[in-house]
Amino acid sequence: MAVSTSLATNLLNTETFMGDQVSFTNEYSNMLALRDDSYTTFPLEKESKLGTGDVIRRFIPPTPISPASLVDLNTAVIHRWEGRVLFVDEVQGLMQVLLSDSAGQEHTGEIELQWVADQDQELVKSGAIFYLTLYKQIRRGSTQNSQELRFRRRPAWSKQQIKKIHEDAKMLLSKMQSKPLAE
Amino acid sequence: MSPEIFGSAIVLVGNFNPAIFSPDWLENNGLIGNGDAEEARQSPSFIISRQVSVFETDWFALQVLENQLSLTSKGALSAAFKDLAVGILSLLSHTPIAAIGLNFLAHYRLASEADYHKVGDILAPKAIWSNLYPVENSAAGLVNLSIMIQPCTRTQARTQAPGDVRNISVQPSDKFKYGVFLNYNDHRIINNIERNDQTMAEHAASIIDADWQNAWDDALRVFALIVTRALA
Repeated sequence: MAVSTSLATNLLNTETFMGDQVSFTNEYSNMLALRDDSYTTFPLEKESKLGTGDVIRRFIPPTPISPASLVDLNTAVIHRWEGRVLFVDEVQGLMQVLLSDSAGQEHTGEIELQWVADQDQELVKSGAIFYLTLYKQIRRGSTQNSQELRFRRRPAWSKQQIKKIHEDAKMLLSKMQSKPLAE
Repeated sequence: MSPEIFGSAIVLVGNFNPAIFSPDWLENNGLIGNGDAEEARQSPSFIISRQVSVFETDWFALQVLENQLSLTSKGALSAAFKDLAVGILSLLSHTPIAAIGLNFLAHYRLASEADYHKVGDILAPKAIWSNLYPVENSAAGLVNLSIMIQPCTRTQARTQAPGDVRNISVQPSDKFKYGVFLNYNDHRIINNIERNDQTMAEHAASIIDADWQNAWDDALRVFALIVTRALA
């Protein structure tokens, strides 16, 4: 499939489009005369010979790859929930959870800690947020259902963010007035 | 109607330093676990350099160029994917961001060859092409259809600068013999007017945090409508 010139031209400047399912790398590189079949996807330098026999090296910018071509997608979500850990029972190896689906329906349940990935074990505590996804996966022509539990990870507050919060709180407090006492 | 395959990609246009985007950096900042970090370091596509960084785990692939960051989902899609993008932007609060793309793609498997051609014929009627290239010795088929949705009237669309738009495209699926591939791109411009006192990256993070799940739901709604109405 040929990629339109406008798509390729806009790509490096403003385009946030994922790109075609078929990598547009080839067409784009051909259009800009960057393609050299002797190189891998990221040609970092190229040797060229001048008439004098000297060899110079110049850097070729990496060719953008359609993000869609980086992965071979084969899954689709069947149902998804956002969960919150209510209580962790280390002895029984369970966590009591509250699950909410995309329709806003909630229910409680228990999930065995063995289903939590090793790297997420340290995140299992009361109040922690996780995502439970029931999905189907196509593998070698057959479809199988599976589920995944992944805990939410967010970076810690930065000093700047904490400072901003304190400043905002101070500003709000300064605008508050105490209630007049009843006579 | 539900897709057989569904994924997402978040694309950021801005100024990036690819060299800092490493599995270690993500792990040290609490965005991925040690298992994911190790998997990323072992990924076949792993490269960290001044001009490009690429690595992947079983649930995301990251590619960073100097002017574009692309985060693509793999495996089961969940809000953790969005959290990763928000987390990255939170750590780079002073990175200039010009635009965001919230992308969703889907492959729908159709029941028959007749349905497959019906979708193409409804979205791209063939009467003109059949007159130009008679069907006796030519076959005209839809290869790619892209529609841009702008939040204005048609007249205004011709004169005003494009801002936030939705780009929706339809193509034959390369996953299924009789299937349709749909792509939904929610393109947002980051400008100075609406940011209040947030940096560009902070504003971008807040948009992704607030709108990614809504865009997911809207993409599914749009895809299902396109396919079911074309088959009706």
